[in-house]
Amino acid sequence: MSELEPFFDSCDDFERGLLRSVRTDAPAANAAVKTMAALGLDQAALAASAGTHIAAGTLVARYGSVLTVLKGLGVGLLLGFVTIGAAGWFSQRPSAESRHVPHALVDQTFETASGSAPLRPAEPPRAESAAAPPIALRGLPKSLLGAQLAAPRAAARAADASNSSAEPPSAAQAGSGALPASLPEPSGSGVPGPPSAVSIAEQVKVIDHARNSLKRGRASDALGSVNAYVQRWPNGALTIEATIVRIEAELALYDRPAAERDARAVIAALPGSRYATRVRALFAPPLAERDPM
Amino acid sequence: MRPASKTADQRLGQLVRAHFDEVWRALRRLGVTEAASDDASQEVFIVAARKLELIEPGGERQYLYGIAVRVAANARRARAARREDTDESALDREPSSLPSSEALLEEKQARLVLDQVLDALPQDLRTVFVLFEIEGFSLRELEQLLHIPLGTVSSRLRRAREAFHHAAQRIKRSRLAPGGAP
Repeated sequence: MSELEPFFDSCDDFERGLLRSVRTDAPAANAAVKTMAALGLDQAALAASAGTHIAAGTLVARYGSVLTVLKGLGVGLLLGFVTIGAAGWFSQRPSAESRHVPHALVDQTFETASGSAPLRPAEPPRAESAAAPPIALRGLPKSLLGAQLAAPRAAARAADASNSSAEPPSAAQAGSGALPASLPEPSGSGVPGPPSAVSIAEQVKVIDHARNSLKRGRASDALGSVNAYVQRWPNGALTIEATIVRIEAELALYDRPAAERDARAVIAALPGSRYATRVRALFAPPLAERDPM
Repeated sequence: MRPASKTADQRLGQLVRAHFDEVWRALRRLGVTEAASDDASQEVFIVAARKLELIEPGGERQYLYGIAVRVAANARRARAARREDTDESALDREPSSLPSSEALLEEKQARLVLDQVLDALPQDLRTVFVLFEIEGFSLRELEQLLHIPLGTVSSRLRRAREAFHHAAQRIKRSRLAPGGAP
């Protein structure tokens, strides 16, 4: 319709800022997975619909044996199970950059090529605190991981074996960054195998606890929960989700160097993925700093 | 509810993978609360699963948005019927107390304000505005998606733009006024 002028051009900065803000709005990482479960789509469908990507095969091989057990345990646990595939699954989804992007909302400040350093110039790296286990993204398919991200399994197992609890860490425990004493024995130690239903449910619980802490403004608690998660499940199925919660918590605590470090790890491990897009969005410059579009 | 064949499962899986995020986002902008948006998104795809055979290849996105518009309308009606609109909206739009970075905070707050602006639009105008200006549909596509004549789509869009400007400026002035929101 030629009589309609481009709307965005007629907006002032305030209105443009409002319209741009939808760019980073996204559902929770497991929302689509829950829908898949509600539709009765199982891992085989996920893998088939994702094509022949190696990660899909890895996903089914790794977790397929748990499916029957989880179905017997009801939808709640099934959702937890399906969630474990999110990292590999979402990495194969079309990235936000490759999907439809409203013409008025294209952010020219984001890099859309690979995951190399789209963030602001790095500040001097800080020394890692003892309360913050390094991000290794070990729960992701190996094919998606850079060698520098693969932490020694021996250390992971040692951490696994040293922890115990079925409940998410309490606020006080989480806030201190210490591992809660009540963590139960890990469901798997030694040779990594398919996670048990109980383990998956526990992992979901801890990550949900971290997210809820973040939503309530308790970033320190969220960080503590994430640290506890990483220590307890070094090869956890929700490591990527934990990492993103950690980044958000670090930003909330104004620890930008740590947040950038973790963000770079995510982007390097899963370039072009929904996770990379989401992480970049967390570092989007304030509206006032953006160039007019 | 489920398509019978494995092929249908695969297609449905692809549909969810490719379009879930944008359907969720559209529902939010069409007035579904954050608390209800996951369920509403799920409903869109459940409906799509039932109608899968009717969805023409290449027309998936448009079909899903057509469902989303109706699901959003139903969600709003149900909310109004429960007389919980005000409370839910207040909860949804409560500015985050998270001591976030400036970027995060501004982006989130901007979305809250955007939803306030969109709430000020009549629903028929809001729908056209969201689908055209935010989701990138063309007027021709909206003609088919909303089942209204092209002239009506254009007319609604023009009025929606004016209403958006008006509401945005009103909120902007109120925020800049002494004692207004930061």
